[in-house]
Amino acid sequence: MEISYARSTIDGSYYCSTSGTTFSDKQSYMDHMKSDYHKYNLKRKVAGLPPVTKEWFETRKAQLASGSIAVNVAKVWIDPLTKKKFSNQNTYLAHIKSKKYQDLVKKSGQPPPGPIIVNKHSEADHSRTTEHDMSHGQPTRSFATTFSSMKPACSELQENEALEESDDESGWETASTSDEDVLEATHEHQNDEGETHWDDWDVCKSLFDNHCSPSMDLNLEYMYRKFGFYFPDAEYLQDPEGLLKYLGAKLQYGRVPLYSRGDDENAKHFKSLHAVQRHMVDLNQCRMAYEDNEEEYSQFYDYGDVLESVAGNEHDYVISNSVEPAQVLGTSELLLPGAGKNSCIVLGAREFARYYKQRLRPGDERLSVTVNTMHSRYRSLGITLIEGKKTLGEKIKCAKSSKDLKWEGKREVKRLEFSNFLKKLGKGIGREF
Amino acid sequence: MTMSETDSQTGDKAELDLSNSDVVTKYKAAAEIANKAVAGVIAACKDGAKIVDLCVCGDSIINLEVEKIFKGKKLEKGSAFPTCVSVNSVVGHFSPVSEDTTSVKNGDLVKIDLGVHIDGFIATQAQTIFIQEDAAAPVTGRAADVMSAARIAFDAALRLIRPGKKVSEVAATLQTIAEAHGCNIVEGVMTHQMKQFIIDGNKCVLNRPSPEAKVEDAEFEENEVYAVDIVMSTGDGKPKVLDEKATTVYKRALDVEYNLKLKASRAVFSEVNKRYPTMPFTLRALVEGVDNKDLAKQMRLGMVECLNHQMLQPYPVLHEKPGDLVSQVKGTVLLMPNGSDVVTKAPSQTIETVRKVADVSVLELLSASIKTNKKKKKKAEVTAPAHTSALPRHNMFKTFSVNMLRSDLKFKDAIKMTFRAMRGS
Repeated sequence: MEISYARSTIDGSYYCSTSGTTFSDKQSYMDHMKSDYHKYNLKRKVAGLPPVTKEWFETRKAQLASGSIAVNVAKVWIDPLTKKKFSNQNTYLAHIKSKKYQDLVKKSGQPPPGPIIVNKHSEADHSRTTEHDMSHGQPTRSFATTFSSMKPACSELQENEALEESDDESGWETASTSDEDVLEATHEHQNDEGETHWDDWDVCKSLFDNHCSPSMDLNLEYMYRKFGFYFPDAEYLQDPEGLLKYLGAKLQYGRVPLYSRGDDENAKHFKSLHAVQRHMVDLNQCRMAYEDNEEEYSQFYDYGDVLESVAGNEHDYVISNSVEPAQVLGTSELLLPGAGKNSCIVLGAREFARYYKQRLRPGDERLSVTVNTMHSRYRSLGITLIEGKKTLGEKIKCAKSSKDLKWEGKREVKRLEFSNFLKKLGKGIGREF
Repeated sequence: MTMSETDSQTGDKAELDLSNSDVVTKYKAAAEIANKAVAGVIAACKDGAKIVDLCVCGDSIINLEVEKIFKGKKLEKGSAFPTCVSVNSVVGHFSPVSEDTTSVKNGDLVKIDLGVHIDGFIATQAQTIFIQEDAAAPVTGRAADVMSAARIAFDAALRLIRPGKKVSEVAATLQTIAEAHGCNIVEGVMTHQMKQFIIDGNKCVLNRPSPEAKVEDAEFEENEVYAVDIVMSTGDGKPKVLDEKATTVYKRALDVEYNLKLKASRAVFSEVNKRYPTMPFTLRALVEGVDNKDLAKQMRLGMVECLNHQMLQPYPVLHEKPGDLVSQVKGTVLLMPNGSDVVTKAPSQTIETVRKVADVSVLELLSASIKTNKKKKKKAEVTAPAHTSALPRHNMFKTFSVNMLRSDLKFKDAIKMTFRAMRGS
């Protein structure tokens, strides 16, 4: 499942970026994320195709299920003698009429067998829809383009068909003389649109050196130990077997190293499985491409819980009344509500870090010392006779009129005035002087 | 007087002046101890006694007595001024180190100066003694003159330092007295106002004003404490510092902030801070209190740096011209609502002097009592009816307002008087 981050718009709704749809409430969004429609869209995205609408998907699904549309109902003509498959009657007939076939028929001494017409499997059943490349001398296509077999439009299907045909013929032409090779070609030849028909990777077989372990778990362990290969986000991995098979297919048929993305056009292609395996081992890059590439493996993972929590968190864009907001104090400190009932966390501003680091020596607390310090300070400033006055205002007035007041004394008077002003403002406002 | 410096900083505080009876108690207790100490030193003043011993005697009496009182409470108490024994032409602050060997002899005019404080309330005292074979015999000659001058001046000062009077009025009278005795007031000596923990307050009286030294004019107020200090000299009255090394009395200057570099000086300073953070102390006492012997040796060295950076305010030993005699009288005066209360007393010698004060006004002043108020009130009440008898009604308000304006009457008394005037009694 894709982590398409739910962006809440102003009205608090959810948006899925893959399909470009918005949902008004959380539940419908969650359901969408789990649906087949979304998964299909993800695959399309990985393949580089534009997404489909829900209606189209439903229609297609219905079609496949019912098998009503003629085009989709693909019949396969199988020739029992050569065991060759033909997607079209014409091709089958062409094959039958060919000289080679006739010779074969004569050789076998049997009457020419009739074709076996088999219905092609529907798309919906298969979860893996990647096409397998042509083997033996075929120009290797990008692994990504094999996804193109999933084209929804009929025209595209036909286009693909044509492609398949030409491949078929060339395959037919270049098929090796030996029966073995023919058979192999037959087996490996994938004409079917979108049908995944390759051999499943053996889950007990290591991806990097074909070492067979007794079980899949042991295989995974072996790969981890020897090559450092692991499944990322293992907690959310729903289908490890499927993922392993997919990776195996990627190596075997795609022949791209695992660290490359599925839709990467420029990924290195190798001539054989052994080659790609050796490449990965030599480079010590025995890992899956997971970062920024969750979509490729999204069908094997289940991020239901995560998505819920993620969606849940982002829902708090709308501040609820139960949570106390943070305050910014006048001293550039941030006051956050703490864990306890009356506790709070205070964060300071970085520019005042030097003050937070200060460790001032504790002053002398004795009354005699403080009194005398104050007294001597006043005297040194030239303000001496103001202590007789009762109120601060009188003090300031007297100090101002004193002719002996030096510059520091005047400053002291100003400070007195200011502190008086602050006092009038009330408790807690302004700094302690 | 109020703790006004702290007022502006910390807000309201209880009035810690003489209106508080606890404060008065403490002053009186401190004065008691000071009296005892002076008496003790006077008793020890004999021919051949070492000055060091006299000083030690005084200090030890203070320390012992101080320990005995106010035991339970956590108060700062002790010596407010170290015992100083100054002889003849030495003006004051002579408190030598323990190694010193100077001693007194017959015919010396010895001034004993010390101070005690309890919870910051200081009682300081100084007396002059003439050493002679026969302790009871009267003192004669120049010594007698100068001693008498000091005593009389002290009495006069007591009557001049009263609520309502001004600072500038004091000096003139003292000068007259000094001249009458053929002596001079020593310059630079000041009568200070004292407060809790402050031995030299802001209001001070310059006994002998001079062109260089000036003091701001102020008014004496009730509930203030003054340390009246009179020093008379047969010479010019212009003392000089002869030997800087002789200075042993210091006080920590609290407004100076400096980080000392030498370890010795830091040790000395921390010791000072611990024991004498605000009061003057003598080097001898500082060294004695220290347990570490090495530290004691390094004291002098440590002191140098402290002095260089003005962290300690020195009280230098001042000298008059050799041959001149200097006499000192100092006492603590509390300006109470009902008059001045001289808390410090000492046994005084009988003086026989030829000189006398001739000035009439001064004599009048001296004859006045230092206690006040009760007489005045009676006088006022007596005079009032004489002025107004059988007042018509419209004059009542006039009388009432006049009575109200009189500051020596209380409100109820003013009303009483008005009614009496109305009745015409």
